[in-house]
Amino acid sequence: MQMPMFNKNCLSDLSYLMLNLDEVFKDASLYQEIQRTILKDSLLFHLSRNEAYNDYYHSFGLKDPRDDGFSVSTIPLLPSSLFKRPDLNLATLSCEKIIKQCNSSGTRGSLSSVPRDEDTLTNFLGSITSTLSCLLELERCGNHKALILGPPPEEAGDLWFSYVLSTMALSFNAEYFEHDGVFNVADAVAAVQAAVERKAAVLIIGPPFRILEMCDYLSELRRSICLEESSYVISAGGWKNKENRAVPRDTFSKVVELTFGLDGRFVRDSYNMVEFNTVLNECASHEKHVLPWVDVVVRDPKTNEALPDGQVGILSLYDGSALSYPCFILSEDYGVAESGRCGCGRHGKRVRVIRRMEGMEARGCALKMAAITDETNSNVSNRFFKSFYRCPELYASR
Amino acid sequence: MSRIIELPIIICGELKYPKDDYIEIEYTNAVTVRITRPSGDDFERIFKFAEPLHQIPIEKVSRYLSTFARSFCNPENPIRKEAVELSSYVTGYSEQMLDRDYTIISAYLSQRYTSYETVESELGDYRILDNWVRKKVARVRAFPRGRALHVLVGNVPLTGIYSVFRSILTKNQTVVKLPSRDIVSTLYFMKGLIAANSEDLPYKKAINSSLSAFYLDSSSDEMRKVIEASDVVCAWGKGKSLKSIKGKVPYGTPFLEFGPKRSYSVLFSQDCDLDKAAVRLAHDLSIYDQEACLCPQRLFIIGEHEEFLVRLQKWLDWQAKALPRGVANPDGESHIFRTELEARFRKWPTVAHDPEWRTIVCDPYSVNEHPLGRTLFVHPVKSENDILPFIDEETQAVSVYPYVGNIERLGDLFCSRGASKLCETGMSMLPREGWTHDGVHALSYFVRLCYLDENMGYEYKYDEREGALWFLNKMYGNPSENLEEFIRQFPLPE
Repeated sequence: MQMPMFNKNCLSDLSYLMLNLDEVFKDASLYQEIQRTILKDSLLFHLSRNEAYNDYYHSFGLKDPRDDGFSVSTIPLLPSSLFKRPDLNLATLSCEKIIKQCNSSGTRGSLSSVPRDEDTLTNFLGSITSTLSCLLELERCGNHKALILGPPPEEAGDLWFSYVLSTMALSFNAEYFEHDGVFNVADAVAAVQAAVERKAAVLIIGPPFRILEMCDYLSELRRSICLEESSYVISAGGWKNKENRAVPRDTFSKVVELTFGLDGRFVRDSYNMVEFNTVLNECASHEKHVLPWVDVVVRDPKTNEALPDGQVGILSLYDGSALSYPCFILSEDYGVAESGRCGCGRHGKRVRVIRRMEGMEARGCALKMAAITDETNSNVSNRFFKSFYRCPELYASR
Repeated sequence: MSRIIELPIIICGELKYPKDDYIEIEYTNAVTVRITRPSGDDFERIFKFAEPLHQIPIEKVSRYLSTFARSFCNPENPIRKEAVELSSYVTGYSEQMLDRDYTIISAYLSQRYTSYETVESELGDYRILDNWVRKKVARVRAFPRGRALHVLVGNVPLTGIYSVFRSILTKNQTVVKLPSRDIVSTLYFMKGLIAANSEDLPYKKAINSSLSAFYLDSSSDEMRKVIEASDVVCAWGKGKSLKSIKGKVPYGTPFLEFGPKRSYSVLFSQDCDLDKAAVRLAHDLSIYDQEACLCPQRLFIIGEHEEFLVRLQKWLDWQAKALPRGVANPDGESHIFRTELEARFRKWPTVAHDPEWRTIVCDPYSVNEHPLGRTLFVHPVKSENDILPFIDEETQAVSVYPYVGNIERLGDLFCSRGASKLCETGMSMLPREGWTHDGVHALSYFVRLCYLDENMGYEYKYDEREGALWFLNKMYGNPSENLEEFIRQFPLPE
């Protein structure tokens, strides 16, 4: 079906959408139709080019999606853990087209590695820039100074979170405060102060624990800095291995509001993970809006049944913006979805993330089995020095 | 609607029910536990405990334990009944599984010889806990360390009970930090001990008052204080938790750890009756819904596997009727579902009878994580050598079927690489007298082995006059003066 707003110029459907998000969010039925069409096209794209995924799809006995009755929620999901398996190739495109293997931070053990081509990365960046103007109402011309509590582009490497933070340089006059892996809180605070003195609005973007570190730093100095109007503090990336310092969202927001003299509407959070090709940002009502090329279905952790709005379950993410791999992901996050009209006036689905799942090792003796390869032995205790009897390789090499 | 369970703590043998000050623990299956928060005074009472437990003979200690165990053997025992019900709510294990667990540990402890044989096999002689026992020239006696702290885990209820058993048996003051995973079983076991031994007998009063059990946040200052105030710490749990506790244990205080382990099973399918092998493996796989370290997570089959899996599936169903799988928390269930999705994606032959069990045939090198919940990765291999890369210091049990022939050869092969034990498939959870626990005899951690030397004139089999003269000479630095006078100061063999 031809969307009324598609293909009015030489842009791709997705690029066109990204430029016209405001219009889509005004019309619930248009939002749903676009969502369904893009995800169906995405599924067909991957089925026709990704043999492993095609086999997987048909192992469920599913019909051709072109037949009547297609529903996004029937698209087979890939558990996010599959991206942690070095022996699996999940790419839809050939390796020549893959320009970046995007890696997770490995906070919880194994690294995820996600293959991305140029178009997929461009679409990812589009998800950020389009929501900056649509949901945060920021001008694309870059009047805001972005203060990034992460590494600059030249240091970001393949680490996904760092890469995402580094891309802010594409949209804003950005300054970075992590160098050689070290975050300099004093420099970050000084930069905020300087911007305020210049009466410049700022975007402070970083993981919540670093934002709190800035607040703590100022608190120790018995200081607060009142940011200019239309400044934002945007948290991203979660608490990672700083879970022990995690505070509830409300508490976090209150601390930030007090420290930077901000109205709570300007303290926002965003959601993404290395396997997901879109950033979901909050509107002023603190709702994370699902962009129209994405769908999020909340599922019962045990049965995988789709759950109705308002019920807590595992978030499954369907993202039509990824070409290099099937971005139909069973995440490890719990959350809830809402489909009614948002307090901000926009239509379309929103999602609230509640918590990460516990890892398998959390229970009983479910040890991680470790990567047992010819190169590494099966010992998971990662000791540097092992006695003869503790190191099978030493034993075998006698 | 969430069910609220109120639990007491035990301070020096007295139950203290929650009033206004309690710790609340929320479980994912709509259960909330409120357990009394231990106060500063409670800790002071524990720290001031001063009963001379070492004077109680093992005969009385074993009677104390067996009196309780015989009362707990009765399924109608009200404390046991309540424990089964509450523990099932909290842990998600089926009531049948818990009932089985309580029966096994009660039956085991109800025989007084269990106490005697445990001491005999681990310390050499049961009398060593009461008297000085001759060992060559020395006389040795085991004195209790003093205050034994147990930091427990809840995946296998009887492990907590067994930990407390060791501590009581060695006449220590027993202090238990209960696990949130199963906050009920060990608490009720100790409650049962006190209730069954309520007569006004000095030894019973002394042992009762030596028992304390409570819940604390592991990272709290109180926990640090309790650890520092203990004379031996026995901790069970995940590597991260053990490391954190270990860091708080003062030097000189023995630290006994039972960390996360994994177990495997090996089947020589051409040499055995497949049903006999299958019923045994189905049992080992099903108990505690595979959350015990001793439950096999992988099966290595040498020989044909397809027919065996058909039999195994039959017996897994059969076992699930008698010992139904409990309800794991939602995260655990999701891990199982994800594992099945991965198996499907990888086209691994999978038979799943959800939610009870599943078998997945695959290359052992492709398995990275294990979701438990009665999930068996089946690896057809050519020989025992193909299993060796998977055996390391975190391997606990390797069960073998058929368990015949030169088992010591397999023992050398697997144990020299890190495995702690070999047993017949079906016997994983039934260690018998003489067993070692994760490579140690644990009782020795709970005692100080002291000895009395004999006097200088004590003659032993090596003594003879010339040797004694030579030794005296050497010991005193080859003196050259007053040699005869010097020698007269010492008793020498004629």
